[in-house]
Amino acid sequence: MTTTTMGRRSTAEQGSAGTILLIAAAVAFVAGIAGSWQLWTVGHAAFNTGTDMMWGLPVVSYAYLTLTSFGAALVACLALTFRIEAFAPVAARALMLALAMLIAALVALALELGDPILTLWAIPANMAFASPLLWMGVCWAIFGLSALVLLFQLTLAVDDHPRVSRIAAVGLLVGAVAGVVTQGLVYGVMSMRPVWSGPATPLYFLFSTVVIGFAVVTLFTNLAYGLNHVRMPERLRMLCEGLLPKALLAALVVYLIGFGSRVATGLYSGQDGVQIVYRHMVASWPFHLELWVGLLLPLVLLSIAALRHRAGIQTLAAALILGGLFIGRYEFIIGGQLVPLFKGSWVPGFVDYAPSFTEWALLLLAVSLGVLIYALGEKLLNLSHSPKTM
Amino acid sequence: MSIRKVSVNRRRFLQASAGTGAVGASLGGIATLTRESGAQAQDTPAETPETKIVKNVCHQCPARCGIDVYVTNGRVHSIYGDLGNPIANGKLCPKGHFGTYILYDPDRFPGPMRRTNPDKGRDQDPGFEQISWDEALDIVAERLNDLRARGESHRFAHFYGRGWGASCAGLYGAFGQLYGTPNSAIGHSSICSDGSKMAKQATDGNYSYSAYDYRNTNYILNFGAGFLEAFRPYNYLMQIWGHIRTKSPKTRVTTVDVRLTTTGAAGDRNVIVRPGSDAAFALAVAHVMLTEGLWDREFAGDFEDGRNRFAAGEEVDPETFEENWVSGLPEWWNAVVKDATPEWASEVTGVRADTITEVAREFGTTRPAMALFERGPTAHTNGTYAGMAIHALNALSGSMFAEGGLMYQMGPAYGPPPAEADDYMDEHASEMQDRHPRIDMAGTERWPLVANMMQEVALNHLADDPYKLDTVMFYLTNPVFTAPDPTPWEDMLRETFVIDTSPFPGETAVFADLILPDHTYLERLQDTPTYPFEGWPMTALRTPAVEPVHDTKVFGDILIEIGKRIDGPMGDYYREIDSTENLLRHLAEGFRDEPGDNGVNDFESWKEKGVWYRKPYLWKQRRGRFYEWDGEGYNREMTEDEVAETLFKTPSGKFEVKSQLLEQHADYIERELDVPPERAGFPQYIPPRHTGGEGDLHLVTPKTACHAEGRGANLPHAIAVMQPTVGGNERTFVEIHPDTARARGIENNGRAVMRSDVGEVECVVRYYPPARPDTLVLPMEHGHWAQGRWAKERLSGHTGYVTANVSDPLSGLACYYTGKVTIEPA
Amino acid sequence: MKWGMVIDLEKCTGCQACTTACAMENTNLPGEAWQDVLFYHEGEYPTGQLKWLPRPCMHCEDPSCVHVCPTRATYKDPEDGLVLIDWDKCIGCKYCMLACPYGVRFFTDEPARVSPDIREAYPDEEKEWSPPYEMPEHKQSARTGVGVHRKGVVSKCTFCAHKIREAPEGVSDLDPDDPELVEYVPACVRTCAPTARYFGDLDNPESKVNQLIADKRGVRLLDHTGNRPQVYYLTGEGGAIPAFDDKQS
Repeated sequence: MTTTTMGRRSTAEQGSAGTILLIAAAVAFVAGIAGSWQLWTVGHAAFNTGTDMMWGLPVVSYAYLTLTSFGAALVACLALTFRIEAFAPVAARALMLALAMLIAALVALALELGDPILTLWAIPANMAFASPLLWMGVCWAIFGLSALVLLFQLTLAVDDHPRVSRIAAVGLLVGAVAGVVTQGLVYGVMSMRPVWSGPATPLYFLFSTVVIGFAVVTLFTNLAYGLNHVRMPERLRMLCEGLLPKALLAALVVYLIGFGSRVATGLYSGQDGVQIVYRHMVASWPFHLELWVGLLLPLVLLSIAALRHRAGIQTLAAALILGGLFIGRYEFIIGGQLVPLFKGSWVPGFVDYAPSFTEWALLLLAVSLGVLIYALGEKLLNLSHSPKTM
Repeated sequence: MSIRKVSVNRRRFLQASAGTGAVGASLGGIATLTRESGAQAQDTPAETPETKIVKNVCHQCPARCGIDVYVTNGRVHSIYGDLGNPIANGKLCPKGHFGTYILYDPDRFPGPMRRTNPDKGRDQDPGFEQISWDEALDIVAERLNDLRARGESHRFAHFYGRGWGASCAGLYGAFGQLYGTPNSAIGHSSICSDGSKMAKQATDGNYSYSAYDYRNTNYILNFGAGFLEAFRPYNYLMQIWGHIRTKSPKTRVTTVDVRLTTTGAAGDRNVIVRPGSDAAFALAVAHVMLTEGLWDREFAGDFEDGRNRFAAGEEVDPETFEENWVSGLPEWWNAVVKDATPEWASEVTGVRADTITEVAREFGTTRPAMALFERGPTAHTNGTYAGMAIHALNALSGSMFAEGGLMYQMGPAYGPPPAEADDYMDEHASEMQDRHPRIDMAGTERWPLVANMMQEVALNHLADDPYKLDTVMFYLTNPVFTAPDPTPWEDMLRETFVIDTSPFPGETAVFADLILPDHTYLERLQDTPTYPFEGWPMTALRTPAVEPVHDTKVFGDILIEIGKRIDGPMGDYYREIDSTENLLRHLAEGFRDEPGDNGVNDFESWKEKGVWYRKPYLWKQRRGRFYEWDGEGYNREMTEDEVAETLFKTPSGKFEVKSQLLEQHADYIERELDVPPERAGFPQYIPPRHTGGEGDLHLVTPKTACHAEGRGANLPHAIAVMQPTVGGNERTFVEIHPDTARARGIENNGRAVMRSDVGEVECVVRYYPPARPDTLVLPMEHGHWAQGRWAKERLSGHTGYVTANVSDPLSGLACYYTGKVTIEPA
Repeated sequence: MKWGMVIDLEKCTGCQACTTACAMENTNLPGEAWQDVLFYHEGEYPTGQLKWLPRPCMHCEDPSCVHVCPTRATYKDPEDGLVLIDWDKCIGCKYCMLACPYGVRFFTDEPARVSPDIREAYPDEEKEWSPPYEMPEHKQSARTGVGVHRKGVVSKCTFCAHKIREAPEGVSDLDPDDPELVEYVPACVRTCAPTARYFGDLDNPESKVNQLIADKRGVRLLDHTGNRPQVYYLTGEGGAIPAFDDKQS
């Protein structure tokens, strides 16, 4: 098998966009570390999480980043696993994003866990088959390894072991899909937490992942070329002005259907502890930010053919979607814990939770780390490499 | 067993990885590796240190529960009830487990402290410097000797709160007698619960709390006692609760209170009355019992011909009624009870008349049935009469000294002390006897019937009436915070030489010139004769569980050491007493002739077992006759004179519903309470005089289960469970009816300010729909401005700052629950 | 054998001594109530109600917390039926806390519930804190989650494993009134003044706990979750299991 390099970018093309991104991410990362200084001094007491709100913003951050990673990988899989040629131009970049966000997610998780060092061997050593978390770890391992191999193959080894690549491409797909579904299972199996539980939860996660994946690839591809499709290699430009925004639109529509049915059933559910959460959610401003700005506005932008292919619009829509989905993730994870399970009259009807400064700093730290790694990849590797066939 | 296998595997893994050394450590592996040491230690139990159990007595309420203190390697690590102690029976209340906190409180004084900052005030740092005990005691002795030399020894006053026994508060009498002051000591009982004692003295002649045979009762009618929160002995009451509520027949319990608490909720019926109206409820119960013929005729007496002439509104001819052990029943009926119909009481109390009738019928038809009460009804200006009205129900139900009824507590069989104060009087001491009134004017024309009047002291001192104090010494009391409207105390403490003996920094200590820190209870040797319990005598002993953590001294020894330093024969007396241990050894000699049921017959066995007690109670009333224990049973019938001498210590030798004691003070009563002299002796309802000025809401300020003798506010775990009714687990809340709050624009969990004509308090409210709409409830707990790092400035604020210093003229009890306030958003 | 607890709500006075005895025995932080008493009110003056429910860990027969633990740190001991946490394996992911329908699990590393933070008064490097009255070192065991909590782990009621596991072999009930057994009785059961708590072997048909469950028709909480608690409640006359509905606030 052969591969050809389509339109290797000149340094000029790569241009200032990459550098700006790198510097911005680095600055944000340093700010994130500085902002989370309390984590290093007083430990997890610096979080507003604990016995009442077990999984707070740090878990939201990590969960969101894993979905971003899986989503980006699924976009890569279109070319690498399903061999849809049209998506080949974004495969390498999507892979880089997947790896970068996975690392960022793991860092976020490590900083949230009580004992991250112990985690490294306690999970494999004990093989708790009943726990979805174990399987999530297994999926991550497959996924991460596959992504690493593929990225190496695509950008450095120039596909000299196609067989390895094919196996890895299947691994990537399986890891990503299973990873998303097990993450959905983590919540879906919790019969005692009705906002989370149910067979549809993994599907909801899958819908979210796909839309996040297309959005993040759209965003960073456009950023890589300074929001200018003209600078793009031809095939990439065709993708960006054709299939990619349409795919993003389609994913968004599917997600909206899932989102709408969740909210609607939630609002009308007779089950204890459900309706009250959704009512609370619908009455809050982040929900409306999510719905109108994060979902419906991009829907409009992407639905208008005249706008859809424009780099700026795509970038804006993708960014809005990513923001909207982040709010969605927050509402899902926090919402499931809002009603205390077992309480006396005097326990507030809702757990009183607002993320601490440290938790916000941790989010900044993790996201900027992901972007930083990605931006480094953009600098050091040829992410415009496009596998022709595999 | 796969679980354990995995665990073992893991250890092997760690042992293996330990070899990799520096790498693991640098990755943060140290924490992981040392974690293992705990588990390994468990696997090698070879060097298990010895744990010893020391007998002590809890100090967090008056109940005196015997405790087992667990000590390992010189550290106290847990406290449980002593199975051999008849009050504790191996159990404890929620406070009991906190003793270790008190012992190891990080804010304790390290030793005797001398003030260096001459300026005194709430915000003044006393600038304490630690000194030796000799220096400290010499400072006190020099001051007291000077005062005595100037003939002003009466200007020295002792103040105490929880006196435990002969080895602490028991030493005051001799100290005052020999030193020459009437103010040794001013007790805190008038800001505690003297109302119930007075009510009992006026009716049955015993100035005492009652002992109760709860185990055998079938009905409890409880007026305003926190039976399952704060009534003593709390721990035992809960044990009894478990028994009486599951025995056959189940004991029915009706609670009459102004609020809904666990006590009311756990019983069969919770009747919420208007604050200060309990007497009307009790009188209506009496009314129904009499009109429906439900009183105990064998105890109280009957009409000559057995025909019941008690009919609502109609007088009876006293001549037709043959009294037995109740004196003045027909007269009481004619003057008070005949008009006290349930309908009338309904108007006064706000309770449905049929509810009152139901309660009365239950109470009247159940035997044994007891009526009990505490501060709820008595901390009002009409408190003594209210207590009498309630206590009179025990006369009607025949429960006095009966099985399942009430009695009074016998004292322990102590031997004589090492010396008698009478033998050490000098000229000055004799001269000073009865020369000056007490600073609180207790027992004078101003307060003729009371035992103590601590809440008057600061005002009297500031008014120089009867005189000004020079030196004051406090033991387990903190009136500068706890007295009603306590701010004048700050002025008094500013201009007197203040000695505090608390081991902890508190409000008094802020004003103290000298701190002579007492041991905490786990470090003490101290006797604790029981509070009224089940009648039979009992005295428990605190023995030190550990060496004193700081340079402290048990209060009794502080007093003795001061005494030794006083010039003249007083010093000799205290040298003869020598120490509290010597005193206790002498007292314990009394056990040789009367060994305890658990075999305690001397000091050593007392220390070992922790308690001496000797059952049974010696007297019993059965079907209107009194019997004395003859060694096998209650077989010897007592004469009327014997009953009058030992049981009904009234002028008539009977239970008086026409109190001769009060009739003797009819003029005073008319002056103070507007009660016509001819009615002075009767249990009756008179409208309470609510304090607070323009307030439109009643304020009730109870103690909760974790009050812990004033230490609760500084015990983090107690703070976390302080107010279960409304979840006050970080602060206390004002329990408020939602309508009341909303009408004033106060949000649930919102800040508010309570005001009376005395002052104002910042508080946080919580909506509590079961609350009376006209009544606010705020536990007297937080709002300290000293008292330790956890207590300081915790909300809600201190209730004392809106509580007027007004007392029941008869009992002297401060009317803590009669205040009215306004409340508005902060 | 299978240790279980019976709580007689008719006797319970809501005093919270179980909560404080547990907290002091196990050196819990203030408000970290392994054993808690939940209070409820309903209705309005003059017919308001106040109810309460003591709640330890249920040591379920089929515990959802054990299923979800990714490291088997939370485990069910097949020999005596206890659900325990091995702090040597706990990674502090808190998934078990989410999975417990009874809300009995605590994360040790959280802001103080009562300030100032008592951990600052008695700081420690390894453990959450080290007060002078902590349980003797030889009683503490990371593998059963007994003792002062490690940093970053989840903790919960152990049924006082360090006590009951020392009990004589084959004993059917741990009666706190029996001087021979009192040292082996869980703190909450031992101190319960009205004797509202009983502790014994649910596998032994002769045990007092089984007799009480049979005579007074003991019930388990939230049976629909399938966890099958080993803590039974006797509701009796005057006892009540309040509804846990989300409308209460």
